[in-house]
Amino acid sequence: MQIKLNHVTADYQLGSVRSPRVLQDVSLQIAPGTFTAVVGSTGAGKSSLLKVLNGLLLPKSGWAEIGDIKINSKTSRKSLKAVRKIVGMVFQFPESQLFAETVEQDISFGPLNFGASREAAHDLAIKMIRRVGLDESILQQSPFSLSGGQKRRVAIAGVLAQGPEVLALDEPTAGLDPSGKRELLSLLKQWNKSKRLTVILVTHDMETAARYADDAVVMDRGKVVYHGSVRSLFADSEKLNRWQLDVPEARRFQLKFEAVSGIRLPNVCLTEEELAAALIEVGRV
Amino acid sequence: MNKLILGRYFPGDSLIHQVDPRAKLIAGIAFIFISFMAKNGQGLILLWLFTFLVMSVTKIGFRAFFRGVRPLIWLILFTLFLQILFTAGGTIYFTWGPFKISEFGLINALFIFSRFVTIIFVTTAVTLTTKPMELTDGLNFLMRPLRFLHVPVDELSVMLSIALRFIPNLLDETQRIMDAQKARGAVFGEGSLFHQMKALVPIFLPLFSGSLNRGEELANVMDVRGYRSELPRSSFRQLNWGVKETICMLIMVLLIAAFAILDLVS
Amino acid sequence: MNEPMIQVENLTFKYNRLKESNTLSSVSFSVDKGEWLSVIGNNGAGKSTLAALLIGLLKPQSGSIFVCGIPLNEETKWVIRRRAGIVFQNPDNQFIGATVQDDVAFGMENLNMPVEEMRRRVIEALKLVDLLNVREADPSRLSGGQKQRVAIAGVLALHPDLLILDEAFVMLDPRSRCDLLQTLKRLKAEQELTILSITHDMNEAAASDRILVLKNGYVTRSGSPAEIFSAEMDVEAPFGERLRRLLLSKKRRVPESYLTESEWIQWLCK
Repeated sequence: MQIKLNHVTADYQLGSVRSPRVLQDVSLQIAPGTFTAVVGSTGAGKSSLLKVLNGLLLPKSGWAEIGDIKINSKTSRKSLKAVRKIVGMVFQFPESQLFAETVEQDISFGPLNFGASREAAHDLAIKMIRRVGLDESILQQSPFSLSGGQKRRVAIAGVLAQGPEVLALDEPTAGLDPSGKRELLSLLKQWNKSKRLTVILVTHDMETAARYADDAVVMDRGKVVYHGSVRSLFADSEKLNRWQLDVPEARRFQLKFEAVSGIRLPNVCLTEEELAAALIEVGRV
Repeated sequence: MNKLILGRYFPGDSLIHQVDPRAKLIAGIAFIFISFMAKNGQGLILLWLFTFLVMSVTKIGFRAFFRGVRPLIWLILFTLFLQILFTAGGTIYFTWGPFKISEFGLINALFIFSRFVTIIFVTTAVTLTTKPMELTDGLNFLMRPLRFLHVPVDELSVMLSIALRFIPNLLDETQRIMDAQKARGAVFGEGSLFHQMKALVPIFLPLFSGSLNRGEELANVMDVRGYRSELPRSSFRQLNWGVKETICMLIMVLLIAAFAILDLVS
Repeated sequence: MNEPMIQVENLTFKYNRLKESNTLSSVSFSVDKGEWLSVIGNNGAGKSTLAALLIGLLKPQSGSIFVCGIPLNEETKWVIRRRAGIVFQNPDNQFIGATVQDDVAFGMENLNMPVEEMRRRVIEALKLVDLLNVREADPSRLSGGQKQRVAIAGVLALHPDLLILDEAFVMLDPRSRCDLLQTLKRLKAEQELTILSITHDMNEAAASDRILVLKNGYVTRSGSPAEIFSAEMDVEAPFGERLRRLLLSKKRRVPESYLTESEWIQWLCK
């Protein structure tokens, strides 16, 4: 499913406060099956970008195209619903959206809204709870009785049950401990690889971007200032500085080592595995 | 959501912004009584003049004030309607069955309309220029005498100030949950009334459970930071009664005097 | 003579009396004055329960807690809370005041402190966490990390001996974590503050003096960061140590034990 944004400008209204121009003339094309990290400082427009993809925020000018559905300022409710089925959206702290009596009912909420039959929704619930790595027995429990990490997985299962082709996530690992975070991101990576699910992930964490994403979109004050491979982004320290982005730990270690030793490692290292390989190659360990 | 008036504050540095909330509250209450003292044409003009003076001193566009009237417009029109149609006396302009449009009816309606609208404008001027927290402090002070009747004034004002503090968070969260459910295909504001009510469950349940959690955490935080309702507390925010406040009170006294004189003269 | 700041003996706690397993099982440890102790452990190890017990929000089934030499109980908890403050994980739910300075003053208001003294201390505490310039801001204008620093200022204003952090880093983004960590390091150096931090941020743990490992309610080990990271191979570790473990598994020549990042780079350049 091709995603295309063409000169999208958007305002954002929350309460009586109107922030003008949260997105300014954004043009972007995301290929199907890719894993893209959206990074940038707070207030750069990352979350707004996700909302446009999902039709929760309509462009004031310009248009977005999800597959063959076009979204602009006049898009009808019906097409919006069609878009929302294709683009699954996981908000920050998605566990706060759980409401139903049982986990199964909660997971079925999306599919039933999008017109699935009760039986189909039931089957989907079973399939999805397994997919997020939880046991089937949890389906009959109340979502409020689960632990924080379990709740988050249930919420994600609910979004997956809609059968999206694109999964857009806003800081999905916020508040998780290191192992919970690793497990969730590995699941995403796995769905991306095996199911050809397009993943678009907003994050503040450069480790996440470096380790899991193929491409990066950098946003700065409402504009897309970079769209390209993660590796070439992190190779350019000067640009990272300008956009107030951190360097992944492996790369930082590499730069420090190169400065002290005067030895240049053969490639840009984004993870400890790559750094280890490079250090072995230059014969330091 | 964006029509919410409660706790809406327009930052600014006008004279009215600077006045102590207690003075503003007293003046606002005084004005409500004053508006009932206007009983003739001159009084009515004075009422409106004072109101517009207050409004322009706030340096806030008049549009914000009109927005304050809007939610009450039906109530006002309804009252006017009753007044016009059911008050008899003076010249009768129009009769239809039991309904009459009379001179007295129109005059009465004019007075009622003026009282209604000027009161709304002046009280809006108070709330628009006073931070919610200052308003709480002011109320706390004015309600102090109630302590002798064992009304827990201080607890109430702590409660009120915390509630005000969390309104923006609650709005944010409502928006977030609504967006999340919309993204899952939920549709709001469509179909039968029953359907619409049912569609709200996925918003209110999470909001409710989230607020309970928040409340519990907040209670813990207050506890470990030493909040004990049974002990006296000092207050970091201090209210200052100075020259401005005294002048403000003087103006209100003069206004009352003016109305009294107008009443006597006529 | 040199009394420990915290002394915990045989602390046992369970939420539900009917359940067999304890959340905490005869936990004993002590923290010296001026020490920075990190408590780490997997989810459900009882870390946050420990924090709630230390500040008197929960009552233990058995065992005792001494803070500043005072035994903690229903009567003494108010005295102890004047000398020990806690910062919780959710930055939003612990912001009580309408503005930064109102929030910092909350604890002092509760002690019925005179206004002049409060004003002085608010400014002093906000300087310590480097937030004096936003003292009139309301919470919606602050980042998560700034809110946590406000919470710390609220504790510091009471001139405490002990600061407890209950996963205060977990909701923050990496940059805010880094800022908060710098603030803690500075406070520790300047204020002779004792810090007990419950965390799963390994950079934070590595910066502390000593680490206590909790597993399923038991204390399994305590020692310096170097000792813990070298000995407990299944504990999450900072980047340098992850690299060391990785190379070790590839049977490469590596430093014998945990090194800080600068030490590592020195070692590599030899």
